[in-house]
Amino acid sequence: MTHAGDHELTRRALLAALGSTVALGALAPSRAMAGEDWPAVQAAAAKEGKLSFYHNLRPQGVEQLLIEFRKANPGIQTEQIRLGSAPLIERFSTEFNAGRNIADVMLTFPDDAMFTGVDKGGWALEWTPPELSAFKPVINRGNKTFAVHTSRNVIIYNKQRVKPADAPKEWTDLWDPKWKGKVGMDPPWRSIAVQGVVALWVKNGITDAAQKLKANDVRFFEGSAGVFQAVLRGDVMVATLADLPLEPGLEDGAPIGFVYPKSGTATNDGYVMVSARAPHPNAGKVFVNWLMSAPGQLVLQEQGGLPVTRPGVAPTKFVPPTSALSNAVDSITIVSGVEQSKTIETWRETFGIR
Amino acid sequence: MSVLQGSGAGRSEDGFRLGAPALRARPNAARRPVANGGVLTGLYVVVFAVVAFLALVPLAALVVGSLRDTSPGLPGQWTLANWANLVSPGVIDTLLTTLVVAGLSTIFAMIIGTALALVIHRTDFRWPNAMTGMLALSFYFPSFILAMAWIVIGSPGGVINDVLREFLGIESVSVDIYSTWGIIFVMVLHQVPFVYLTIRGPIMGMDPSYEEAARTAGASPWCMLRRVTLPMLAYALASSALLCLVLTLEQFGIPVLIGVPGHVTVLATQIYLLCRFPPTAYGLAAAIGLTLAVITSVAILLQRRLARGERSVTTTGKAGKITPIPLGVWRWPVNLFCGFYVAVSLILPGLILLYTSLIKFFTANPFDAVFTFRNYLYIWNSEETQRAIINTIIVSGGGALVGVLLGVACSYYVVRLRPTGYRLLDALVMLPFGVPGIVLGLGLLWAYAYLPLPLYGTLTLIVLAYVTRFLPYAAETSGARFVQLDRSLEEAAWTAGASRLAGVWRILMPLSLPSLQSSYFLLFMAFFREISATILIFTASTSVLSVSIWSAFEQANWGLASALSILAMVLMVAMMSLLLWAMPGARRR
Repeated sequence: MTHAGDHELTRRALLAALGSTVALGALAPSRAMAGEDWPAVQAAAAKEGKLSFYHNLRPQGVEQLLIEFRKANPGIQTEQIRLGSAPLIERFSTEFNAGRNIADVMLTFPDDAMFTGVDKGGWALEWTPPELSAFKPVINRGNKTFAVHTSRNVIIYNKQRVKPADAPKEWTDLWDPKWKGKVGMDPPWRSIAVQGVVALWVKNGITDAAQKLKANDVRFFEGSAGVFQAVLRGDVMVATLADLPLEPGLEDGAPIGFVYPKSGTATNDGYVMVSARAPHPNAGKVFVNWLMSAPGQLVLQEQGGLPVTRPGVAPTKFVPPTSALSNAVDSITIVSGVEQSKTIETWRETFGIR
Repeated sequence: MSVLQGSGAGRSEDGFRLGAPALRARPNAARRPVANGGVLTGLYVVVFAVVAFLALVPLAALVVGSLRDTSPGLPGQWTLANWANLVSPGVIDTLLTTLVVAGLSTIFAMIIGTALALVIHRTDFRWPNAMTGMLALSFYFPSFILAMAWIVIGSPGGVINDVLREFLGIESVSVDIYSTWGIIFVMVLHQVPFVYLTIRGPIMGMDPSYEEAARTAGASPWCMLRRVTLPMLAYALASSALLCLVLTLEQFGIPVLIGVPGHVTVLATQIYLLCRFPPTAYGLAAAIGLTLAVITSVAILLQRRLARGERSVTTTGKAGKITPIPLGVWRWPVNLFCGFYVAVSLILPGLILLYTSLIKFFTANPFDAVFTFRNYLYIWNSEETQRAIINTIIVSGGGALVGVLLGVACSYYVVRLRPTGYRLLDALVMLPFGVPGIVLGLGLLWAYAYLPLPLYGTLTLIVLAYVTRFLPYAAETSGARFVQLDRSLEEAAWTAGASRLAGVWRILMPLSLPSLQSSYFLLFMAFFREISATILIFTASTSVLSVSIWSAFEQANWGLASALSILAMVLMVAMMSLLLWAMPGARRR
């Protein structure tokens, strides 16, 4: 992962530094770093025989992913719940606080509520997956949550209606009057990923994007996949979105062109954790470790549609890896809870959603 | 003294306080039923307790949630800020938009639904059974799937505009579903089957002698409709309109999909945003939801007061046979009207779903499409989907039966017996109905996760949630029929020595059969398609088909969502056919 332009002292930077220190072999190893007796964990997982997985992956992709996991780990049955990130986190929070512990593992795009739950609420088990050593330290948040794949913000256009030469190249092209009424996006009050790109615009000096897009009659659609469908249908010609649906869409042959602007893009990592109150903690560990293994990461990339974070995994077929993008900035480093609220307030006010 | 017993005016001699004059038993000892007040008292207590539990537990959780600055169970402060925010200009503007959209949708749905019901059941229309079947089927369409289909048809890049541009070369005219009128149009399509199904029973149960008398007196069909038929249906129409209004007020699938691109915000969209996207404001969502529930409860109270004097007894012991009104020169306009409705609400969306389920990515021109069976293959191989199908059948089939039994019991006490506290029971039945589904789901999640009951994560909880939410369907539909049945029919049974329960079983139930079957169908289909409350309380082992559809839809995997919807419709047709076969009464017009 490339994180340029990141000179601020943020919680993420501190944690990354902490992770690096730990990975380099700090003097006083924590309980988590004492190492897992992995054969014992595997034996216990087989004895538990079950895994409950909470996630926000594609419905079709996750079943294949779990089939591959079961092939690699026969004897562990799986069940899963899929929800959008925010409701998933709310569900986990309620169950955790109520003592209705069903989830063993949760994989989602986190928000402040999740990190608060992990950091202060004791949601996540602290442990060290054996595969962690194959990753860059930055993916590790205190041996509790681990970034396993990444979405990036991108501009897309309908290739049947827009010639590549006419397509937008930069974020600022989205408020060019020639796209008036033909620009689409997922509104920032709905998407953590879009909040990231808005924060990037602000960081780059564009503070009035909401007003400019309103003047250009931007149309909002439900989720990045909803935006993708709208561009595909021709409801709008160009759009900005998190690239979750891009790889699978292009694989299907959808006539969609895309541009990752040279000025930079905001990224969002999907984090996985084992619940501190998991009914099947060992099965949870085995699953997370498999997800972080080379074969697991490849399956996650193929079935989830997003580039994974493990170095050395074969790149995605259609979209470039994050390392190849110009000035990719991790959203967590530029979107604090306060900025998130401010962005949402500004955009809702501008578009009359109060 | 039992809760059903009392003394003084307004109470019958067997201890039941009776209601409106039309329903009041005549003081005739010979017509007293064989007493079984003990059983009825016991049953009333049980019914009251169950309904109170179902309604109040999630609402209490919502009240607590609305007074906290965090979700229940989390450390936080007590606050009134959520309630104070209700009077912000944004909420008030949105409320006004919501009322306009819901009001217009209800008016149009009532007109079309009532017209269809009268055409099918009061005229010599030639295809009544086929029309009923298609209306019932279109009732199944989840709102977001219908909205999805109509986006494909009527959006700027959709089928209609593509045909106009590409095939007819017309650039100057275009259709845009993303507008207030687009929302109303799809909402009307969605609500018409509901209106039809709620007034079908009362129309079928009307005593034809009144219409015959008007006809004999020389009244024209139009005059008869205005002066006889519609007044006799006043209670059923008012009930149906009320429920329809509540449903359109809380509808979120259609405004979210169609309203958001068109920048049209309604209260449900607002609640949806508050509940689902960070920074979430569950407390404000709960406050808005509870306010809607209060508004609805007041409306129901008013409606009950107005209807009390208007309730019409239309089935007496006198034999009568309906003479269908001949359509005459109106036959073809009526056929076209019915055909057009079925085309836009069922056939066109159904075909779009089928098409979408068979292509890799959307293109309006089928000749440019890449066809595939992968969505159906996925369903075939998906263990989760198979489990969801089985759960759906259990929850819809069994749960609807529980709902109908409870609804019938409630309406029998509320409409027929009116024991102490019957108005409260009536209000309790309706109370959760006014709470938007997504907010009620939040209340259910908070309540049943924290209550020390072994319900969380079970199918029983899903059934309880559905019954809580949709009990008014059963109570209103059966209640509308009960008020039409003259008490003299039961009294005749009592004269012959039957007990009150025997009177219910032998007289009331058989005469109410079409309405009870309508109740069952309504609940069955409502349970089958419910999503907004389910989405927060399902677990991996209790997932249902609507959740699978929503998951695919939320990921904009419209191909898979469409394939699952097609499968659901096939299942629905199969199960309805089975039900019709098993319930001979339902086959009668």
